[in-house]
Amino acid sequence: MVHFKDFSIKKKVVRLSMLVSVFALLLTSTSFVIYEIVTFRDAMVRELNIYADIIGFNSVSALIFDDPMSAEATLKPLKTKPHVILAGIYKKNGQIFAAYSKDNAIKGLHLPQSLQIQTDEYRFEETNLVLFKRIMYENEQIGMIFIESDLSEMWIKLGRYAEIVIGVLILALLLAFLISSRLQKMISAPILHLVATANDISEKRDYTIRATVESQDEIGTLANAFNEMIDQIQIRDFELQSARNGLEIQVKERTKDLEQEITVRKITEVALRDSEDKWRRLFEESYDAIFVADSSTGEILDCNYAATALIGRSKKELIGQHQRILHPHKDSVEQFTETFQHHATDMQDQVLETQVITKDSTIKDVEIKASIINLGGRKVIQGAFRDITDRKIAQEKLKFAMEELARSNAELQQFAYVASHDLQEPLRMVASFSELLGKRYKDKLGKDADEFIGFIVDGASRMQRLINDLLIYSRVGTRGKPFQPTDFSSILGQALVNLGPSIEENEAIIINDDLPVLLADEVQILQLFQNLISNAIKFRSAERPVINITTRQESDKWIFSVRDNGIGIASEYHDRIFVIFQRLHAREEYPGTGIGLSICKRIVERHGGNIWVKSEPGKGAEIFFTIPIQGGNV
Amino acid sequence: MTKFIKAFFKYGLIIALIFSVCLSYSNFTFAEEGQPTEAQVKAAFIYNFGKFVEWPADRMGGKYFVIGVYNDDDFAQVLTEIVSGKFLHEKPILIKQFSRIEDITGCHILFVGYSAKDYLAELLNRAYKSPILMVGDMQDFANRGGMINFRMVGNYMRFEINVNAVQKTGLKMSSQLLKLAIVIK
Repeated sequence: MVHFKDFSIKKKVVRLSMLVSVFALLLTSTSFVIYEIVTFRDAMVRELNIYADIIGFNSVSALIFDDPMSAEATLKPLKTKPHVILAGIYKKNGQIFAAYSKDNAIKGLHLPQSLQIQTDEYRFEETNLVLFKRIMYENEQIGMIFIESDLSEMWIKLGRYAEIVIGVLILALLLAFLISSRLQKMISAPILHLVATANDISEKRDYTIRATVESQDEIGTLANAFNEMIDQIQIRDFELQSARNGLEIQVKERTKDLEQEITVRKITEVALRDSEDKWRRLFEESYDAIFVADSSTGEILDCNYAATALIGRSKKELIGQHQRILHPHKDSVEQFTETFQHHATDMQDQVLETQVITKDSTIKDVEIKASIINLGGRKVIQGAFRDITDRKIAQEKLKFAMEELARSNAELQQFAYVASHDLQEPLRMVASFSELLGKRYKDKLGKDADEFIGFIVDGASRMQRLINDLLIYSRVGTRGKPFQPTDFSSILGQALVNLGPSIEENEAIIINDDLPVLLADEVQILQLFQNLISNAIKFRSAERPVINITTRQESDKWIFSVRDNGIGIASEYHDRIFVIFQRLHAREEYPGTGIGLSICKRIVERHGGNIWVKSEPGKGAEIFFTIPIQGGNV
Repeated sequence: MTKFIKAFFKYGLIIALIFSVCLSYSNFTFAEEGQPTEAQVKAAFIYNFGKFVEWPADRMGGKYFVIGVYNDDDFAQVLTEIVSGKFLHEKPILIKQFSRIEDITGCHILFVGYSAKDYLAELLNRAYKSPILMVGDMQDFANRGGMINFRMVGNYMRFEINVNAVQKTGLKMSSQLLKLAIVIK
């Protein structure tokens, strides 16, 4: 069954108008019939009331004088009213007084023999109307009247009404159908036209078609809106078409670009692969063991051949493991991770010395240089391990050798000191007695003897000086005092006092800066200044000696300079002058033991400084030495 | 529903019937025991005649509505009982007994029994003048010029009215009354 909403507009309009007329008509008829019923009932009641009044009035005397015959006579005229089927007059006590029945055969059949009702009232029963009315005389009730009327007349009347209504209804429906069939075209035709237009457009895809606007009502507005819509669609269609054309060109261009891009990418890929190959080869063939591990979890991600060789495990055994297995430490995972993180973040690019453990539990010393790199968004740590086990062994050996050396050196120094100290006593004896011999037996033992004794005395005194210098030299290492704040200016002053005769003799000019106060051994610094100044005077040129003592601070040390205008030193001898017993000149030309500058070197070195010379022959010499601000190594 | 109503009506009627029969004994205005006596019926008729008759205005000036009884003490007694406390034409009813014709005056209705049959002419003469509605209880009373006369028809108490006599007095009598009467001309 087709639902109403699916009907065509044509049908809808016709049915709606028919439905409306039917409803209107039904409503009118129903109200009319109801009105009729009500009116009819009222009329009936009124009519019966009038009858009752007349009968009552006419039967007053009959009741008073107890004359039922007369009362019945008053009821007789009811014969002219066929709808009155029963009537009765009752006495005051409710007993029947006079009766009337339309059909004598059933007389009294329905008429009550006594009445209880003593008031005016009426009621509609199934098919009858029953009315009770008091009979009054001089304001006194003297009896009752009962009238029963048949309502069939009303029903017949109503039936007739119904027939008329149905007839009118059919007629009205026919009329409504005829009229609406004609009029519906006014509404449906423009809509159907719109529908046809829309179908046309959608089938042919021809957006130039337009609906004709026939009226100025809502349908006209709809048609206008429809046309506007089609206008817009047409414009859009056109735009779409041109956009599509433009798009094709764009696609072509873009394809070309993409092709180029793909070519470039291919080249890049080849280059990348080559680079990857290179890197892989570098990685695999590196002498250093390289591990790549996840920086957060510590999982080993990759390693090279050298790594497998270092640990003695295959790649399979290493990759996927925690890097802790590389190390012999028995820390827990957390502790290890913490240490590891510390190294990874703070010590990046620093060399960490640690140990690794091989599969067969051999412990090897390694040096790790780790760096964090980004690998596909993941932070990984790449560590290059270098096996330094051999180097460590060598270092150990060297250290041992050094210690050995230092010990023997110390022994030697001790020996030198003891030797030179103990040598002084017999030497002094040789010197003093040979001098005595020379004085007492001068010219007594012959000319040659005097000369020989002179050689002995000279040799002994030279030996004494030599031993003295050696003692000083060895004392620098063995008999040094602890460092104390030392005013270098006053030490220099003291040195100049000690060297006073020599300065005066050579008429030397000493120029000096203000010198600082530093932690130092003041006896040795005095020795240092004396040696350097006496050397400057000793190796003077023909000019009057001028000696400049200057100083300047440089970062953590003071640089001192003692410059003279003496004979100078050729550059090839610059190193040799600080070596013990090395002399550049004959003893006869410049006296000295060849120990002086060696002592200077030892003193400076003991204070943690350096000593060197800057000089050219004939242009004087400048000796530099440094003293650290915080004093030398003890 | 209708069945129920019908049944109710049916039984209700029966009950009402029984009830009304019971009532009819206690409520009966006329009698103390059983059916009313003939005198009582007649007394009631006389009272009711008063309702259907109009007297000239000059006869209605008095304080009472007076019903006279000529030479019948028993009936006067019954009549007094019947009309006691009742009104006619808005006046209390007064019963007067007359034993002499000359005394008859000032009454609206006069009842004459059989004993008055010999003095009818004189009585009627007085009645026409006054006018008085004379009610008799004797044969041929109406024929002889009386206005209303009692007469038994079967078991029913009926009455005759002499229309000419009534017209002669100038009293106006309701057609309702005439309708019930056996009219004598």
